[in-house]
Amino acid sequence: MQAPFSVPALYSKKKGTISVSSGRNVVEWSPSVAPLDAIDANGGDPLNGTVVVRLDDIAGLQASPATHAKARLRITTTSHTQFTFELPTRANLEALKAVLAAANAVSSSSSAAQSPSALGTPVPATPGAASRSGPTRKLAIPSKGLSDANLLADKTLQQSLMKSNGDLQQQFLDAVVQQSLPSDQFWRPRIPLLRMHSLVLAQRRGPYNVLATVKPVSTMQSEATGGAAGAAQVKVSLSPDKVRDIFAQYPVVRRAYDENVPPLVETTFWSRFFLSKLCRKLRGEKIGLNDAPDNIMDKYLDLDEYGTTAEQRELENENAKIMRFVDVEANEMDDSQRAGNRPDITMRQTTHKDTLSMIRTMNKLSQKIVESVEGEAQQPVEEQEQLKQRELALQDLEPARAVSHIGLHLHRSTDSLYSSTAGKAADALATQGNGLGASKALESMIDGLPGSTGSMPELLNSAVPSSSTISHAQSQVFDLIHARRRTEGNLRDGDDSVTPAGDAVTLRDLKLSHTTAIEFLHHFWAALLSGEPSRAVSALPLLVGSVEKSKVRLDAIVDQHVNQNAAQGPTKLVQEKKRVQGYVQITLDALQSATKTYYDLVKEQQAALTASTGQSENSTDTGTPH
Amino acid sequence: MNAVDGSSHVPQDGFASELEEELPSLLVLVLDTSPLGWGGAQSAGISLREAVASLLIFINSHLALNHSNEVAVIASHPTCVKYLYPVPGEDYSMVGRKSTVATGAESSEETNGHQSNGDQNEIPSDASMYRQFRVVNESVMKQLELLLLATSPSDIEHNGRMTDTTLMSGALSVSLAYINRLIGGVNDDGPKVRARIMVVSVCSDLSSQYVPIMNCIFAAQKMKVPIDICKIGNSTGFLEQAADTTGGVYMHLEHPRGMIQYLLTAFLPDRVLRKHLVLPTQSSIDFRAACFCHNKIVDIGYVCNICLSIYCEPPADGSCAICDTIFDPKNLAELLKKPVVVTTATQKFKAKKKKKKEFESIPGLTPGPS
Repeated sequence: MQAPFSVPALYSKKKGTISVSSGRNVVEWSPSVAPLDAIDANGGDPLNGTVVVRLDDIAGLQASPATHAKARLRITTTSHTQFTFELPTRANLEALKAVLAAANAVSSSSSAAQSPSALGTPVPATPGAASRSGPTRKLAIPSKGLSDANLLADKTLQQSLMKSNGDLQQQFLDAVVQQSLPSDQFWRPRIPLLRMHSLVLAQRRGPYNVLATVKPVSTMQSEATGGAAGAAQVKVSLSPDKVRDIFAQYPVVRRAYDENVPPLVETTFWSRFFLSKLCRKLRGEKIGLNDAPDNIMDKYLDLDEYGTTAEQRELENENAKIMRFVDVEANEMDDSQRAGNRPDITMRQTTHKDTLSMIRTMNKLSQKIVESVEGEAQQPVEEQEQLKQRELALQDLEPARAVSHIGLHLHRSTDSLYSSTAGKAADALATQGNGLGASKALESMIDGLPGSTGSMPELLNSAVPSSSTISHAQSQVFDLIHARRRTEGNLRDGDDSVTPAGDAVTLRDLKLSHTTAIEFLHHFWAALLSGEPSRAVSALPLLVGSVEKSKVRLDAIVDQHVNQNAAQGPTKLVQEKKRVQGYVQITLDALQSATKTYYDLVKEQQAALTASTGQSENSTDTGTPH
Repeated sequence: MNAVDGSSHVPQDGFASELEEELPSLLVLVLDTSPLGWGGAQSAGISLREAVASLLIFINSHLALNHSNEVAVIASHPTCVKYLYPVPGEDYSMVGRKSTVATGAESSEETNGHQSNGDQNEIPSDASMYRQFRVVNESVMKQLELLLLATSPSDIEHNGRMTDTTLMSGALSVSLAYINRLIGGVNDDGPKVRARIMVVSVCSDLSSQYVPIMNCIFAAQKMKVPIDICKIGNSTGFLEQAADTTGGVYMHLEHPRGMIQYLLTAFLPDRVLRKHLVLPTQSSIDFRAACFCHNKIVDIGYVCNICLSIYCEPPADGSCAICDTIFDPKNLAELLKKPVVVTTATQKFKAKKKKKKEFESIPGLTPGPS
């Protein structure tokens, strides 16, 4: 904590003082003379005109250059409001700058230190961290921040994303490297991808039961877990992180370590530990009689995992013993109908002590791990207390409160949209009317029905038409089936029995050029339809050029394919060209329409411009349209 | 498994198929009876009489495939939606017997009281026809005739010209409700029948019914009920979408006179068989939608990002008519900007000169996550 720093300053022509609080997180300006009725539009206190800015909210600081007559400081907050202060002397400005810079440096280093903090160990907070955390959640936010600007600037993130996604890398190489699309523009529509990738990279493994993962690997082909004495060589790999986690989760091991290691070498300690009964007990395995006795480790067998003996536990719990009559939890569980009269497995005298200790160990460990997971669903202690109080309070004698229902208001204005009568007038009014009046049409329909004439078999016979009609109908159905089979066959099986094998290379090239063309079309339409003159001048001519180049590329690939098969006659060549062009016809059409729209617009707006100004100021014209 | 989104948990391939082979099949036939439509169909080659005859043969074949197959026929008229079979209130176990039973006082009391109102118009019954077929055929013909007789010319006229509407959305809703009732509870042994809908349509697109038809389509998709479309006349985009979304067959008849052939080859296989067949359905689908404000058909338009309702132009009052979200006026203004391709150079320079250099940023002093 430093001394509060204050300096006189002018704000909107009013005299006052800028002070930085001692906790270095608030910058405040208060006027020397309280104005009578100041309403500050920029968010200051309307009553006495103070302006308070939190250090966290400051997004930018600007100062007037040293050569300027007046010393001004402008603070921009994250909500885009700006406060301008005028300081009497330049020295004041420099001092204030220094203080703010120092405060900023401290806060940014502390925020960087907090994000990669240790996994779930209840080790006390790392030194040097500013005490800004408290019960706040610490999510796995990458240290570099997730704003758009940061993501765009982060080259390593982009590269790692491209490495993980081969298609993206192809597109990048084609568009940016070969076709010179600015890389900024390439990434701008892909910011959600970048954001997700940076979140994936920032994920950390949560706390877990370390002892279960430490698996001794035996170099001989006999048993895997340590237990056989003598010749079997057993390897265990331990890293300092794991050691720290073991100490955190099993304090009894720590106690053993502290008491024994100065005489013992550390490696000996660990090797004896993993071979001992203590380790098996902590893992939850039963201690058989064949395990080697270990005079050091066995001392700790009787203690529970915290390192306290049974007697110590008794002493601790004595004060906490609740009379059975009022013990709510015990009485809830003591329901003889739930599982018969026999006590629960944890309450029996015949359960093996090891089973009980294993159950208790696992439960306590899981609870500890869950509690140590940062943030998430932790309720602060006060909330838990309040919850308990609320549950205990008797509510039966309270006066009955009227239930207040939430009223739902039906919005009837959409009825007019959905009703079918609304659009009746708009629906197709007999435009291709066959001239029949309504009554006549009805009559003709009714005449057809056999109520008055003919019987059922006659009626049914009339359904069968001439055989030529039947064959026409049948051929239509079969044509559809054939067409469908051709397209669906490819989708379902994945093996292209229909595509000729020679097309494979061409198809690959076409696909690549198609993707790039679509990319450029995206950017072209975005720039064109945004209506901003700046973009029109800077980006649009380049994009139009790229669009045209894409078309040329596609045509070139088609021609190349045709020339490869140049052995066949000219008519066949034309057919072949049409066939291959059919693959990308849609893309070519899209490119064509884009260029056409552009040049039409240019012509139109140029004409309007010359008409309005009477001079030709077309210095930004991109050349003659063709 | 490190992915942040949940896409790895969603099964990529299809769900396991149920044992459908043993369940009977329910066919709901929706017949469009708009007079103008059938007038147009008449000029295309098929009259209502022939079409109904083909449909009856089709229904009979459907019933013949499996003893427990069921059918329902619904007429979609410009003014109403009507069940042609089964007619509510009629007892089909008694139909046909009254002509042979003497009308003694006792026997008429034994029979169920809802007997016929149409005794006079009794179609001469053919005793040698299979009873189930006969019942359906007679009911359909009788009810259709009653329906048409009950329509007065003023019902279908608007401003002196005939309207080309039909209550397709109502008919689809009614058929879906009927199917839902017949399928039975979902929580006991499972559905009792497998249902599908078949629509015979002669009208052109009904843009005013876009929203109800889309709702019916999604409901059918949820219930796994395919909707088949047999189209005579102009093509309709909405019904194409219906067939495509629900996995049905859309067939536009080029030779309407041969309707019976189309029906019996393309539309007869039921849901179970279709998995093993290549369906003769049209592949190119008109996915255009109708806008919610004017019911015009649009292919490029504006969409509200909260309720996904479609507009042909940005709403004038700046808020969505369906969900009442107020749009940001800045964004709306941006959408309305015209594309600009040509500017004059002088504007650019003037703007730069006006900007006086009052402040310059202090490097390194800007706080924020570093």
